[in-house]
Amino acid sequence: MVLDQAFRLSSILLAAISVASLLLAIVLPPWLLTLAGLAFALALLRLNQMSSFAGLLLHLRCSALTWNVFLLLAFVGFWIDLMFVSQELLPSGIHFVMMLMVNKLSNLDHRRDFLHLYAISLISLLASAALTTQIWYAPFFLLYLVVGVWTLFLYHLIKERDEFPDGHSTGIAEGPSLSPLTHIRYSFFWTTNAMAAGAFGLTLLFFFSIPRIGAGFFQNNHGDSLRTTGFTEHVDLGAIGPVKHDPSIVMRIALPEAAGDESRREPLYLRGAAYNQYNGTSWSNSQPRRRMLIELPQGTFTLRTPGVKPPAAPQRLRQEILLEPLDTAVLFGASLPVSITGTFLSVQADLMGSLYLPFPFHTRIHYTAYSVLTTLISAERHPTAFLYPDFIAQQYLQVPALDARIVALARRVTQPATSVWQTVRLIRTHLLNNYRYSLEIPTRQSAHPLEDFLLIRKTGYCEHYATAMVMLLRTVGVPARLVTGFLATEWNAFGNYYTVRQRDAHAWVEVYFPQSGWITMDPTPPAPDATTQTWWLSASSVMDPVRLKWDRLFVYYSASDQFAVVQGIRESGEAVRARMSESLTALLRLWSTMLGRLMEVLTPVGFPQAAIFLMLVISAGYAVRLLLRQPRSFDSVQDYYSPHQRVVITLYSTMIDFFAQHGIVKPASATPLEFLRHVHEQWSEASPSADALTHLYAQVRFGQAPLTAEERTTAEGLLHTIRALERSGLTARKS
Amino acid sequence: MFPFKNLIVTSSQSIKSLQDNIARVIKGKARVIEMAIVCLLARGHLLIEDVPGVGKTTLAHSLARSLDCSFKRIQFTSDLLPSDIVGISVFNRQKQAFEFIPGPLFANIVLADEINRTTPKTQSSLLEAMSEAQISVDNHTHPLSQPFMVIATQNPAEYHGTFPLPESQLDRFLMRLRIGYPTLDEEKKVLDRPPSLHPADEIQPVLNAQHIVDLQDQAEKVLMENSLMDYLLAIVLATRHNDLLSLGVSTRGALALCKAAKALALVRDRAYCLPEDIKELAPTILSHRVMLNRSHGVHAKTFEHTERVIQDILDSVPVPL
Repeated sequence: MVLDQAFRLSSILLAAISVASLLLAIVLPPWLLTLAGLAFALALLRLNQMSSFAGLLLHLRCSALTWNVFLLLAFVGFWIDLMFVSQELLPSGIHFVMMLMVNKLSNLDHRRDFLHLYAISLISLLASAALTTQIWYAPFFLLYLVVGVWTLFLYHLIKERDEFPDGHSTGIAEGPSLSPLTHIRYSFFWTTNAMAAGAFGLTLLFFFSIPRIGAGFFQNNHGDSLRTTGFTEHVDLGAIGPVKHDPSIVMRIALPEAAGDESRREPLYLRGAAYNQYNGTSWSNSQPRRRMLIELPQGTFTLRTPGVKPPAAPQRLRQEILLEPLDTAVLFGASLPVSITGTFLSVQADLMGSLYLPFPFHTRIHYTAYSVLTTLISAERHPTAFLYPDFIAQQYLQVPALDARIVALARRVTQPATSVWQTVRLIRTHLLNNYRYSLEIPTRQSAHPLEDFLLIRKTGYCEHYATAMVMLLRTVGVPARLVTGFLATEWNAFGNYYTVRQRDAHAWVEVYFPQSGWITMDPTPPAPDATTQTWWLSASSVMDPVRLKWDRLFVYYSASDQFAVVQGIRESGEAVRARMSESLTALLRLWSTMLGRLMEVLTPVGFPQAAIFLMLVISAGYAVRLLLRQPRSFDSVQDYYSPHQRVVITLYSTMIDFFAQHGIVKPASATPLEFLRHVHEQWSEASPSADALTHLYAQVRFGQAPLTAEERTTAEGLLHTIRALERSGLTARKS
Repeated sequence: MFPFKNLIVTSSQSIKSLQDNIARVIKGKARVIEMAIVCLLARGHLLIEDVPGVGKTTLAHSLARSLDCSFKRIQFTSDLLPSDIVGISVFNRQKQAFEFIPGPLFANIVLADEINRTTPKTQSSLLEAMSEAQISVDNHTHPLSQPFMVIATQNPAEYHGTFPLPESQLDRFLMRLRIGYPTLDEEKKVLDRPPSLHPADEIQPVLNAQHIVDLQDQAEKVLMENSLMDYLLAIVLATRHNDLLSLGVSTRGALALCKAAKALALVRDRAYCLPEDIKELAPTILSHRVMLNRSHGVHAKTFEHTERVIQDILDSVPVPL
């Protein structure tokens, strides 16, 4: 049957594709390759059941027992392979799978054999996927998909045909089809291919869209990154305020070296950019020149900020940061970041220790930042006169033309101070105590925002506080600068990381001490109302790590992740192998002691007797096996039909069915020639063709003669002729 | 593919010439002639049962005449003794020893005419000869020459003074045939024949003994497909479980049917058996091996009755597709 051949061909093709993908992923031993190639060649040769060569091959088939022994050997070989040869689960498993495939290819008799073959080919495809990250895998995968769809379609057609052998019972109006392949034309293949492509496309769509729907990708416009105007080279006062209502997540920070340490959950200042020049309404950086950072091996970029001495007690803090796309190129890190590790081409830094990428990024990025936490050296708390270096004095003491009342205020506040440290603390305390935190500030641009804040409104938010503090400090001659960034306060206990949102945007102050360096000071009082802890928030804090994992494992699944998975499999395989070899050794020891004891018993008996005993045991085992096998041989009554016989039986049955449809029923006890006479009496027009077909049937069916291709086409032609009679002659006979 | 196919072609010619030869004597009884040849090729023995005067003896005679081999006829009577047919040891005075004089059984074709007229003792002396093709007399075993075929006739109409054949002996006949009356035209042809000589004398032998042995060997090599054996055994099994029969077909009967089917396939110029061969031969070969259940009443026409039962069985056993 052509359908059978197409089905077998596509099944073999499916297996071949998976093996080919495997071949490109792993180097297989030559003997296994030869074996697999031989199995494929034989399977292909068996495809054409009519050729005399196939008949020859039919006699070459090994018995089921041989194959069972083969499988047993393959299984033993698999363990030997795992323990001693390749010593890894993946290659030895692949070798075993190949052996299974060879077995199945050589024994494609029943439908379930085909199903097993599909399963094995899927396993080898998956194995090759685990072993490779190269792009050539894609065409194999697509091909596998397409052929898989063909094969499954054909499988179902075959199944349908086998379960409802007579076409008319399935409701085909045109009578039983001669060859079930009549409805399989080119359109069939195009349809299945289109279906495969459609399924693939749909899968891709789901794969890429579902996580993004959850992440809210489709609500915004694509490529529109979060607005964080605070991080440009220009900070207008009042820029952060509107942002502080936005709860969207900016980044997540894990502290791997401090995990589980409760003290780490105090607020974390994530430094972004620093500014040194204030013109009365906005901050800017007077020295926008940036330099490239030196790249160390493994993608680490280090920074030695000018003007910062190595701290006396360097306390390195490592942070794993997952940064969402922002419209700025600034990289964040706990103050003060000294080095960055990530997959960046280059990292830049300005003179104030702010880190930048060359251009804003539009994907989520992941990097590790190392920070040195600066603390004030105790010596500098005492009243001493500081001598500031020139470049510090030049850059960080700049004050615009300020209202005289502000200068007076600064002097008044710092009056009691005996040291710089006290000055700083007094100013901060003044700001904390006398001003009210509020985001309800009119957004219109004020001509003198600082004067408004300090003297008139006395209400503001972080930017105002920070600006005021810097200005007050500079007025009394203390170098200071404004820093913008995020204040991480939200600890996610489920994922063990800080969640930083847009509303955590913050501005604060860094004060310069000649020996300690830049010390972080925050003059802003805590926001009056922290967000209330609702069930919704706790639920979202549970969901966020889950979503992060999903994004991590599925949306941003990368080559390194695949490597990690393979590595994991290898490691677990190694562990299994170690444990197995341990128990095997124990078992072997047990056996050897038992064998030794047995030999002690047997030695007086003598070696020949022992050999005879061994042979008896083996033959007894064999006999038991044969006895167990006996009833099974009755199950496969159908097996003694050769393919040729099966073909003619199908053809002859089709003819019988056809005649039965037209009122000439063959009784079960009628022999072929008796039925032929019956046909001749009832419908003489059909007699000659039926006669020829019956004789061919008898010859092949009972004479076991091979059916040549010509004879087969003749037989199909005869069947055609008989069916043609139906259209022309039969109507006349009926009427 | 079939190495002896060519041989079969020639054998089919020889079989055909044999058939034609006999047909020149026995008019219009093609089936009976075919059956007789099947019996010969299957190394079997033939029991012809019919009323007198329909050509039983003529059939046997013409078959023997067509073959270039020895032919003996034994007229069985009630006073016939075993030694009359197998032979007797006579004391030879010159040699001072007993000398075995072979009886009429030492021939290729033996016609046992009216076999049911003689006593069971004599009938049973045929047993060894028929099954083993050898005769043991006085501690000596004498092999019979091949081919060896016994053609026995018996008259069913007359039961007076007859000894019906025991079951064991009936089982040794491969088939039981009826000849039946010829049709009007055929009978006319018989009458038209010149009366000068015996019809069987006018034909010439067409085959010799070796040809027959070769054909018998070929018949054994005819292929019977596995499912056909199942079919055959299904028929045999059905006779054993039939209510109308008190005795089913024995294993020897199954073997006989198998051998005969192969021979028929050869006669019909085939190297393999068909379901037809089995189905067609079954009544002829099996009917004398079964016994009707007595409770269903015995009729005079036992022959027809058993054949009917066998035919019913054949109509119930499905033919393998």
